[in-house]
Amino acid sequence: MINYQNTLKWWQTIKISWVKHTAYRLNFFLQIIGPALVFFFVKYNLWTSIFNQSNETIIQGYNLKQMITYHAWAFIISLIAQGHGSWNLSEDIRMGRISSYLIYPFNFWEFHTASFLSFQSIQLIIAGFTLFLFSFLNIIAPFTTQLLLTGVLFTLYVSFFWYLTQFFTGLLAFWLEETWILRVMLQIIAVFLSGAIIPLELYPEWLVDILNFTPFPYLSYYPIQIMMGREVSLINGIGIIGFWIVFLIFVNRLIWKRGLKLYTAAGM
Amino acid sequence: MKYLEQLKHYFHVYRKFVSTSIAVNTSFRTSFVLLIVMDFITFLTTIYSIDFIYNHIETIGPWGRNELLFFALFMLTIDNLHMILFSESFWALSFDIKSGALDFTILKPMNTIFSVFFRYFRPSSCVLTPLYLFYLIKYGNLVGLGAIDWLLLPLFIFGGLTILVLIEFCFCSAMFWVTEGIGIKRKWVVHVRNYSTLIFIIGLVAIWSTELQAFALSIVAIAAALVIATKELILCFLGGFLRASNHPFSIGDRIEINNYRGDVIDTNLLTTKIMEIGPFNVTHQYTGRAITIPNSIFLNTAVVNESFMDRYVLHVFTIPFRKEENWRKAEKMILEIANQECAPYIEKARANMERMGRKEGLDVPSVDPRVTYHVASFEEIKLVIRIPSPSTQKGRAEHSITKKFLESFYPHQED
Repeated sequence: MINYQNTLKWWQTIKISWVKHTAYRLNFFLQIIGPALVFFFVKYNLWTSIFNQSNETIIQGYNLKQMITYHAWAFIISLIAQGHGSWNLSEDIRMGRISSYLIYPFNFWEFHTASFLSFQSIQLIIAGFTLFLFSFLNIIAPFTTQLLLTGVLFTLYVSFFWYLTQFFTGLLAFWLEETWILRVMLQIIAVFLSGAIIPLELYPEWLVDILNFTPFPYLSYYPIQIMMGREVSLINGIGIIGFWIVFLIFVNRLIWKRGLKLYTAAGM
Repeated sequence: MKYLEQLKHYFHVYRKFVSTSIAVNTSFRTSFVLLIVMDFITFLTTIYSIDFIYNHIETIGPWGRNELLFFALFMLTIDNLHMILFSESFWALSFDIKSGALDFTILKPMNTIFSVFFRYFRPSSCVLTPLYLFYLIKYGNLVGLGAIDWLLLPLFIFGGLTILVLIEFCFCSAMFWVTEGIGIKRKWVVHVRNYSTLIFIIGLVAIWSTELQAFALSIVAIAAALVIATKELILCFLGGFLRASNHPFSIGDRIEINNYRGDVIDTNLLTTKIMEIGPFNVTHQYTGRAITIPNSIFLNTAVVNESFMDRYVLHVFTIPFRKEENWRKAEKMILEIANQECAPYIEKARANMERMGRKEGLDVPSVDPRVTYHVASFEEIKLVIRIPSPSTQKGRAEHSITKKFLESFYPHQED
């Protein structure tokens, strides 16, 4: 799908997208970082209060320090893995703006993927700064460089899957009036089932067994386990997410082709 | 009576808002169903998040499972009402600001806050309201609510909804400064709201369960101190609110309040600025001074709006005579001059008065110039002249008539 002769176009698109994202910094903060930050502090308060009843309390293998570390990592991982929203994608389709992509020598997929890469580079910097801050404030337990590197690489891999999912929901704009509902629905389900709110150890076992066949735990829970140095089958994670990536690429191509047949330049 | 009419009018408009929203929402059936599914997923994830936590612990602070679930359902019910009545309007606002469509809303002949925040209604969220209410009642029974508690519950729901809307209103104000209202709205409202609000309250209650009581007492003392310290500011704010809700005048109107007279050039929450006209209320020229009036004045002082009749107003002025002078002749001369002076615009003034009469439900006043007598004392008689005039040219019209009359009435007076 990626034409490597187009490297310069990719580079220019990434640069332009970077400028666009960082041009309105307050807006960027409110849209991307603000909610996650609030969410983290809320969770911090919640778990502190739960564990405060007894400092010796261990809930499903987590003491207070480990639980806070878990949520600190969840915050950092959410910045990298689930940050990208592809908000404009469906609007481009609905408003008829994809006509230009059909005649450009740089197609719709390439343009949005380049924007995604640009966005991820910003998110990586923010995540790095956040990690530094958490370490400095002793919120997060010590970790090794190897764990960090493995965790970040795996999270980036997962973020590509998330991007494809967003791309998939965006493409449904060929048929749906509003796709934000689907995106929000997916977001709510993903946050709930990925262990971003509470660790999966607290979920019923039968549910966790089912979830392991879905990509959801790999969005938050497994990257966190890697960062925390817990034993995780990395091969399994790579395999399952890889399967979903291949599946989504195939589905997205199919939807794009079918959708284009319905498309008129005046929009949907 | 006027307020009752206005209330009826707004109620009628709101009914139209609701019916058009229902028509629009139900015409996109897939989106309609998806919205219901989305709300249902929110409901399930919230309830199960609490349930999963309580599978491993007994209490959070003093809260047991049922208490917290009751509280969560209380919050979800408020949220549901908010989604039905306000959420769409808040979301639309960011797009309206960005696209400039807000201009059209502001131009509409009704309260802007009403037309902005009550414009959209979300019927899809009504579908789940019985579910929320059913579980609210179920868990209310489980936590053993008494008769008074049940009576107070709707009141608390209404109070909670009001607070939520007011907080959201504050957030919305930021939309005027950021490029994407979505940053504040959709992300904050959907993502944060769905989980954080609930967990935040759990956390808040759990952390400060004992301190909350002490806080409730101390907050009264703090509030009292704050009120005393900021009394003037609060009065100004209330005055501003009174002015905004009653619309006694608009920008550009000529008003008089407490001996301050002038054209309104700016209004904000705390003050009103006028360009002074004077001296006193007999002249119509700018003195060159701007007066900033604290809004608290509107709470206990009557406002005279000289521009109430819109573009054309009725202007009254007097010319005094000694009784022995020929005031009958003067009356005829003044009337003749006034008729000539007003002839270029009298039909426009008449149409304006008729329009205002229809709008305000008044008997249309005659716009033809007229002169009446006022016996001020044994020696003096005053001719009271009433003329129509463009609202911005009252002084000029008065001056022109007076000058022409004096020149005709005293033709031999030397320079």
